[in-house]
Amino acid sequence: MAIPAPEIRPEAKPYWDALAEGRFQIQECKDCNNRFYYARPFCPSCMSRNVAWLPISGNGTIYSFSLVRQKGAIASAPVFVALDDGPTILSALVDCDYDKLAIGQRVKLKLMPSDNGPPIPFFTPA
Amino acid sequence: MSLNGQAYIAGIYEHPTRRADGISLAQLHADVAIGALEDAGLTTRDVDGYFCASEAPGLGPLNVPNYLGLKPRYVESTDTGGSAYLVLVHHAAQAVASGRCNVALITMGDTQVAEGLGFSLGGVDSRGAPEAPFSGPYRTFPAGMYAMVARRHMYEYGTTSEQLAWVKVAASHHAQHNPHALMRNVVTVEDVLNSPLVADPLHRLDCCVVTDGGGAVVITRPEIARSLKRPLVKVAGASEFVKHNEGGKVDLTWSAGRYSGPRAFEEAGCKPSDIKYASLYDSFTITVIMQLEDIGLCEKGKGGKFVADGGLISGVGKMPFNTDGGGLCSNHPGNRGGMTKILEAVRQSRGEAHPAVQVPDPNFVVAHGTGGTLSGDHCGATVILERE
Ligand SMILES: [Zn+2]
Repeated sequence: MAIPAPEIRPEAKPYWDALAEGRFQIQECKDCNNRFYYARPFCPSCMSRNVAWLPISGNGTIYSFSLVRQKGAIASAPVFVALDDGPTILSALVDCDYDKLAIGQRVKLKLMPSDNGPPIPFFTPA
Repeated sequence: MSLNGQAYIAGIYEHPTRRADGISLAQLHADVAIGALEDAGLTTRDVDGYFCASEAPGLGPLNVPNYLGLKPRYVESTDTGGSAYLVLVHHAAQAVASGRCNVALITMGDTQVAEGLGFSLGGVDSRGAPEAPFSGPYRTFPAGMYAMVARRHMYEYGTTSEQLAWVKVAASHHAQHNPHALMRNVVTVEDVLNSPLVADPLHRLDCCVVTDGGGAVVITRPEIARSLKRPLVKVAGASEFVKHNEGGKVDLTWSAGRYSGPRAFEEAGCKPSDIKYASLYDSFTITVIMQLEDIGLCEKGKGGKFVADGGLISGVGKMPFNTDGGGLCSNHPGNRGGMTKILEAVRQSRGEAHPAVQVPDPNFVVAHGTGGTLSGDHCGATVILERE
C-alpha cells in the first residue's frame, strides 16, 4: 500500500527537504543541548529559538513495537526507536522477519518513498 | 482553593442505546440532560452552568443551551478525548465551588455508529495537529499505539497476556448483570487469548466495544444538594495532568495518572487503600493495568498480578472495577469512555449499582480516565467521590 505523503508545514520544510536528499536530521538546542523530534522552530525544553538541524545516523534500538493486523494479515509494524543520537521516535518497521522482532534489537534507518511526497523514515533490522 | 465539600453530584443519567438509530445528536444530548435533571429533582430552568466536549452538536455551549432552553452564565467546552468528562466534572465542581454557577450540567452523547463513523473519535477534527505529519505515514492505529505500552510493560515487569485477559474477564462478569451492555456473555482467559490478535500483544477481546450512547451529570452546591431527595455524593477531590513524549523522551512505563491521582487523593483527604470501588478507563486491557498502578491502587509493575485470578471482580477481588461492564463490554460511546466512568462511580457511591455487583460501604470511590493516546499525548483525570 502506498505511503501517503505527509502535510509539509513551513517549519518542517528543512526536515523533509533533507530526507529528499537522503539525510535524516533531528534538531538540537544550542542553549540547553536538548535534542528533539519532531520538527519545531524552538526548543520544547527551554523555549529557546536558538535551535539547529543535526544530521544523524538513524541507528538505534527497538524500545517497543506492535504488529497491527487487518483480516489476519500484518498491516503495519509501529515502533518506538531509541536513536543512538538522542530522542526516541515513532516510526514503523519494514523489510523484517516479523516473528523475530524484539525489544532491544538493533535497527537502522530505511527511507521509503511516499505517494508524491518526500521519502519517509522507516526502520529495518541492522 | 480546595473544592472538597463545595460541590455534590445531584443527578446522573445514562442513555440505554448502543446504536442511536432514529435519534439526532442534539436529541441524544437533550435526552441525557433531562434524564439527569429528573434524577436530581431539578429542571432546565435551574441550570446556570453548561459543560461539554467536542462531540456535542454544533457549537456545543451555544447550540445546546438554545435547543434545551438553558440560560447559562458559565460555559465550558474542553476536549481531552475520552477523559474529557472527568476533566469537566473537575471544572464544573470548581465553578460551583467558586460561586460561578449553582447548577452545572455536563452532557455527553454520540451517534457515530448509526452514522457509519464508528472508529473515529467523536466530534474531533485533528486539522493542524502538530505531530500528524510525523505519525500519519506509519499507520499505527489506536490499537497499535496501546499495544506498544503493553509490550513494554511485559518487557519491564513480566506482565503476561493471561493477566491482561483477566481485565476483560472481570468486566464480562459485571456486564452479565447489565441488561443494556453490548456484550453480556461471561468470557474466560482462554476466550480472550483465542480471539484474533489485533495488534500484538493485544487480542480482539483486549479491546473495548464500539457503540453509541451517552450520559449526563448534574453538579450543584451543598445546600441545594441537601434540599434534594437523592443520596449525597460529594466531589471530594479532582485533578488532571497532560503527559506527552517531550520531543522524544519516551517512557511508556507510566501514564498521566501518576500526577493526577496523588493530587486528587490529597484533596479528598483519603488514601488509595480507602477506595472501595474504581471506575477505570478501559479502552484496552493494558489501560486499566497502567492506571491501577499510576494512581496508586497497586504498586508500579504489579498490576498484572493484581488483576489476575479475579482481582477486579466485585465480591471476589481486592478492587472491584467497572461494575457496569465498562467500555470493554457495556458501551464506549463516541470512543469516549469518561462519562460512563463517572456514572457507575456515582451509582456505586449511592448504593444504586446492580445488587450483584454493588460493593459494601462505598464511602470513597474513584473514577479515573485516560483520554488521547496512552503512548503519546494523553490527559489523565482523576475524580474521587465521598458518600455522606
Ligand atoms: Zn533548549
